[in-house]
Amino acid sequence: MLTLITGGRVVDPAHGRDGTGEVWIEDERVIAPPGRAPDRRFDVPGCIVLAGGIDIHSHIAGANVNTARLLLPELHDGAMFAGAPPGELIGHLFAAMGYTMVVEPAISPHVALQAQRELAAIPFIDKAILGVIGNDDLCFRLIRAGETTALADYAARMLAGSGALGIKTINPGGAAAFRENARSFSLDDEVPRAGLSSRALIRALQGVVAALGIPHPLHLHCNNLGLPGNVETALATIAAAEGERLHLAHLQFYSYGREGPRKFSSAAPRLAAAVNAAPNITVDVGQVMFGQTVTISSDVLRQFGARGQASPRKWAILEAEGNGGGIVPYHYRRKNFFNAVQWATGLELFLLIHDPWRVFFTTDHPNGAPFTAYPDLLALLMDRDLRARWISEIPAEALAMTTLPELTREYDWPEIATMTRAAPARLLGLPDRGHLGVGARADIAIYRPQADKAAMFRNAALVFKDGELIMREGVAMKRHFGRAFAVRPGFDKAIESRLAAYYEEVFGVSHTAFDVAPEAIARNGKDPIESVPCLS
Amino acid sequence: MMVEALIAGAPVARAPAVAAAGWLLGASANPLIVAGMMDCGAAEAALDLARAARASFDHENAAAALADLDVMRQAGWLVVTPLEARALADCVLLVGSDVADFPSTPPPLAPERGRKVMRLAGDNLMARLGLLRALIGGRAITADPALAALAAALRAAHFAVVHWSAEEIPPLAIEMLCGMIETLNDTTRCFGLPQSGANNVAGVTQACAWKTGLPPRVTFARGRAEHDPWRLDAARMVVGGEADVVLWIGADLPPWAGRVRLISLVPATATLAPMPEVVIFTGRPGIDHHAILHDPGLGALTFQRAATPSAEIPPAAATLAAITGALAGEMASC
Ligand SMILES: [Zn+2]
Repeated sequence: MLTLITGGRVVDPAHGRDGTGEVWIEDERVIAPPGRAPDRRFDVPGCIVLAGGIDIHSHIAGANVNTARLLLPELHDGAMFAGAPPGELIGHLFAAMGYTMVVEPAISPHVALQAQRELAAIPFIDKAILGVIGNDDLCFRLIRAGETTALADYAARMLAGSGALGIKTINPGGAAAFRENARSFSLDDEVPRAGLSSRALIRALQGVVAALGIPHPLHLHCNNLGLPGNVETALATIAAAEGERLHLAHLQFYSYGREGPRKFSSAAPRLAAAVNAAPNITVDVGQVMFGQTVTISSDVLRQFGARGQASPRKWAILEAEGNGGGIVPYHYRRKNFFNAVQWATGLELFLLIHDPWRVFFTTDHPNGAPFTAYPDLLALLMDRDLRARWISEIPAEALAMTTLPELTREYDWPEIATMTRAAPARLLGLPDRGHLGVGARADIAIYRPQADKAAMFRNAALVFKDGELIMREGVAMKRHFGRAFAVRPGFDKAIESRLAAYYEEVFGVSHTAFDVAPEAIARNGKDPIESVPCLS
Repeated sequence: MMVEALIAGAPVARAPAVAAAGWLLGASANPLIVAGMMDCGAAEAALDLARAARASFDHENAAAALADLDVMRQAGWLVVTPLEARALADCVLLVGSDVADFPSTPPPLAPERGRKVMRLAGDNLMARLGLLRALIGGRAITADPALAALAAALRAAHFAVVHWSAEEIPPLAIEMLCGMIETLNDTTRCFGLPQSGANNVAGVTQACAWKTGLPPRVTFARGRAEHDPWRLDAARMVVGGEADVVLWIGADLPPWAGRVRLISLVPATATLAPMPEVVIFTGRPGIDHHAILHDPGLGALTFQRAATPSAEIPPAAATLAAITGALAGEMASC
């Protein structure tokens, strides 16, 4: 099937393209103008034509997300289920916004099967998981013994077993400290019983990512999330990377100073400056938006500490091998000083970090806000008048703790397209998406500009996935299932017998019990996971 | 050739039985789908069918699973996986007589601490749990020395685990235990380890949550999923005459089989008395076909390869999907 999309403004920053033009699709791919008449044609004058959106960090599947669903049955009226909707709705709502791929960023290897099965049932979009290590005893043992190669083999074996696209580490050492009754844990604190600092863990895991050639840099959830003054930890973490690639997830949550009468302030300008000065660093923001949500995190130490702020007043803490997790419902309020500072801090980061290739668009769904807040957030970034209206509604004492009112930057379409399309594809190592060049996967979102920018983003005029028209103005046109993506770096098979012995001793089970068999998640016999090549 | 299905006890091919099941569900005013033994793939398919048929969905073992869940969703809890408990617990309190003994070997990740395994069971369990909680809470009460020693052991432990089964102890006891665990975490670490129920109820609960956002005892009667643990109790609905057609998926027939028009997806080994209106023979998860099941020892969903794969007996998931298709055809022809 040959399809022509014509008359719209094509914004494709990966190719420096921004102007009225055509996009030709044949079957699943973008092709060069073929010199033939199309089988179907979409005239979209005045519309914006982008590649499909790619979300690098949204908690959409797995045991912790499912616990959030089970924790809050009374908040299930309305579409968002307090931030943990069922899979069917996740696929529909993302696709309606023009998103065609979402990364679930926090899956422990022992629960990868459930996460992959949940993802396989989500319609429309492509997906991937990041596999979590860095709080597990075996990781500590290998690092302490200086067994760099075995550590890389172990990580590669974990990626293979889980079918993961990259490595995430979550408050590295913090969950292990929690087990040993710690109440706080920072970058240079020693992990009890392990004799290692968080800094050492981060460096070792960065080394693993480099050694294995994984396209996505180490995806780090830093220590001291959410605490006043934690900007010092974030700054020290950036310095600790020593110029090597590192992705800091949901930076907003570690951008706090201790200024002001309430000892809580935005430190976004300092942190944004540090990010701007460190080309090895990428970040996503983890913007807070106001409303009911549920926080879902494998940072069990932090969630244990936050359970007193649960709203409604209930929570679930899971202590598990590796990382456990904590589910704490939370309501961000516009008139709450702390929440308003958090909201402003995230926007400052977006507006003060210059390079849209290195700052990624997230709310850490659902931790800062459910992903359904994306349209409002995109509108805030593109429209300073709208921002001014929101600013006028937050407490003045909160505003005094930020520089947000002074910032006049507005994101333009090429910057939006970079931040939500081209850059994520590059960051994840997916050369055939995030752009509209010849050979690109035909994942395309077309927006119709209107006075209400949020409405424009909530329901794209047209969305194509793999060349099929799947959504029109928020209405599903064709049911479609995407695929999952994973890296498969090679490893020395000798690690298998070490793992077998370790698992037998510590857990009394086989280490292969957790592997994600393709048959377990296949739909209609198709290979459910596509391999992404590693860097040589 | 093996018998694929039965209608009114007479052998038929699978297709007419699937059509009959679709017709019965489509004609029902208040259809109900109930899981006895069911793998996660079948649960997904059953929920698709329930949505299409505007049916309710329950699991035979849901009551105990919901008793645990109720404690979590009313107040919150701190729990641990079985593997982490094995690796790290230096003190294990077994509550009641149902939960299995816990190995008293030292925890592999902290062997120097050793492991103390204690059991609290027998008469007056509720009263003694209340006393234990009071002791842990620091209340000045007189309790028997055994109970005082138990409280002291929990307080002195680095990483204690309290193991119970909701099949055995009442919800109020679970609530007390979780409150006690919360108090212990002011000074040390202690976690609950609820025993997961039989017949993959934990796996079905997970699948139900990712499909609908809710645990079993859901209904699609009004189009969208709604949850009500009391109203949607399958046994209550059948005995009370509220459900007129039941689709049952299990290893054997349910205890209330004679009380309702019944479509059964069961293995050939099932005892068919009383004879259901429609029977479609179905593979056994993990035996005749691959399956995703909750493994209570691992505390996670795992993939179980078919022990003796059979291409002749379809898994319940496939039959349920076929019934959904038949139902759609039914509705289109109306
Ligand atoms: Zn996150």
